[in-house]
Amino acid sequence: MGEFFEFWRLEEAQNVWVLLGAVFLGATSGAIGSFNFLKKRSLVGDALSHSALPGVTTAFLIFKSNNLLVISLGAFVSCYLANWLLKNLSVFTKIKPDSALAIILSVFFALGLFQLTLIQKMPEASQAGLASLLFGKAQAISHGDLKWILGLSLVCAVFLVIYFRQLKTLTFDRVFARTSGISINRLENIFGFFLVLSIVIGVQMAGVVLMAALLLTPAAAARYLAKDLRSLVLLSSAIGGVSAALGVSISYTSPGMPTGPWIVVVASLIFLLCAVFSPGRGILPRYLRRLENRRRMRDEDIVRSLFKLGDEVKKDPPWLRSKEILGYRNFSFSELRRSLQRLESRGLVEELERGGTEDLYRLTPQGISSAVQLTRYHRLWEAYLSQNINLPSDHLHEDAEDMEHLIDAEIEAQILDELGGLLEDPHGKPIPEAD
Amino acid sequence: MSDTLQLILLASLIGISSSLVGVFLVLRRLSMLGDAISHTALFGIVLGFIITASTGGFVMVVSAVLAGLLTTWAIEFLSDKGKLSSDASIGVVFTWLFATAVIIISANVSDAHIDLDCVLFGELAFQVFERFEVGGVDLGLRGVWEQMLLIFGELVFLYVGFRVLKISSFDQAFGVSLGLPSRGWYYALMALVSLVTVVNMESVGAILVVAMLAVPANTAYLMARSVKEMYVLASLVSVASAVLGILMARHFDASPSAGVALASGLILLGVVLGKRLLGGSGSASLSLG
Repeated sequence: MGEFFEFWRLEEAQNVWVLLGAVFLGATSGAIGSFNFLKKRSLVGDALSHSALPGVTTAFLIFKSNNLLVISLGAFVSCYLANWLLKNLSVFTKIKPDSALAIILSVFFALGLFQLTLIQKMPEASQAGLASLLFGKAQAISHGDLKWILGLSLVCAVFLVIYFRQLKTLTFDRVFARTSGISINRLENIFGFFLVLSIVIGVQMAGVVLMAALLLTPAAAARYLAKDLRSLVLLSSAIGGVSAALGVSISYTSPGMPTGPWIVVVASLIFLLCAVFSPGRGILPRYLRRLENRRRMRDEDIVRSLFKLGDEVKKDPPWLRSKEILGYRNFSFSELRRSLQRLESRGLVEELERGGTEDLYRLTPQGISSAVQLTRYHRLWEAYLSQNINLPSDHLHEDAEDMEHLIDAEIEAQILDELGGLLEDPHGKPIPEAD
Repeated sequence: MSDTLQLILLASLIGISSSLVGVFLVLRRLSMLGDAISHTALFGIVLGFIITASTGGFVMVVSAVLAGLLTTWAIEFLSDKGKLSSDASIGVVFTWLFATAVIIISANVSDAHIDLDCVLFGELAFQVFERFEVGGVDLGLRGVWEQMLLIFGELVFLYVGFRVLKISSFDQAFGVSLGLPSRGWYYALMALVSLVTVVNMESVGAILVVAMLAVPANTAYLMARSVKEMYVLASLVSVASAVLGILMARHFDASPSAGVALASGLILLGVVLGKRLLGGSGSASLSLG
């Protein structure tokens, strides 16, 4: 823990380079990646990161130099070629897009490895830097590398700001983009250029797998929080930056800790938090809402059962045993007990002998009016279906069983409007007036 | 048998054992799930090592298969319950588990025999030294016997499950409506993919496993008229890739596993170009049958 805070004092210049480099790289990839994510090309980053390798090795074999610029140019050419092939392989052949990804990824990488084994046997000892492509060298980002990353971030930011509206249109509605005069090919080429550029620089700093994750995981996390494209891009960028900062400082705590994988793990944990707990779209809140809905529907079903088993017109509900309700509805006994307790506490149902052994229940006056309302919705919907959809009368009940829970005053008014003053449901039963 | 011939034999068998599951991955558009599983097998192997403190073959295979099933489940969970697109789920899950595995390796098991280079690139050339001996009698390469066993297991699996796998590959809803247990077979197929991956990873490495799963099967997909034909063609393409790849690697003195994967890519490129140059004659389409 001590080292973790020591890192944040940033006394060593090297720590500052690493931190700045990683944060800017994370933020830039997060922003670029969010467009990839929305275009459902999430794994393209993975494939292109792998495709950088043969470019690097080819450049090295030709120029016998591991100069950053030479290697980057090589990587750029092979990534660009891979990107072009990815788009066209599934257009010109019947190979499916996901297969195209796997093919490009593995064959390009194989070519790179093939050449890498040749290079490793060469006499020159100048191969330093080539192997870092696989796992990255985030902990060794130098002042010179930092300039590259900062330059890349700046250029990408400017591109995103200038082309934001066009990219938005292109991402969500290609047809509309075409009709509104956006040159789709040109825009996609420019976007592809920046995607490839960030991968070329990112792969050398962060390694193949990390780069794939940096382009995807922050965007996937941000999607659970964002309301629109602008906030998605900003959030994704922020998550990328924060993951990078935390990952770098965690890996600082022990000498053998790899930086790149820690950044991925931090980003993945942020993703997990967002995916599970995000109030709007998170898995847990959605699950709880569904549970709550199911409970409400069960309660309403019981209220209506208690009502229907008695005499509807006299509105004098009888005392009923829970077994009788169970015979009418498909609940388990414990579900029924919990529902009855909830209804009692809401004052809709009363028990003959509270907590006693009698096991007799009936609706309170408040419960009766609630049951009348539900019955009204049920029969209104049956009448509506029968009149407007022309369903035979024995097909109506099931559907109305679901709809009675969903209708509200607004829909009720609309149905009444369409029915034009009907007072009976298709089975000849009266549609009761609510109190 | 010379070393080169033995390598060609082993690489051919690896290609065939990969293609047998690769065909259904391609048909069900799950190629990238194969990629994910080949990465997360490492996670399983590492966890298996931490729990049992052994890198014995059986522990590795069981833990990698479990990791493969976990990966499949997690991806399904994220796309079902998390409403994430399936490709994004694949990417998030496998990078996460892979990164976790790399961290655990650097933190704990630096003394273990889990060599990252070996996992990623494989050591096909060293497999020549792994002999299978019974009572002092040399029965040939251990890898060859492993592959034969693996291929036999796959053939049994396919013989039993072929109908279900085929129908649910082309029309999942139809399969469900027939009452076929397609979900169970889906998980069984993924377990098989993990098994093939972990057995082959030792020889050809994680990324090249992806090549062996995807490339010959896709080459066959371009030419085949039926699923059975696709199997035969994929196996033939695997053997051709092995021959060409090993010869290339021997000629340039490069990594044999990279050579085989590269050769399979070249053969695919040849088929694609050939079909385009020859024109419409190659318009065979794959249909049920």
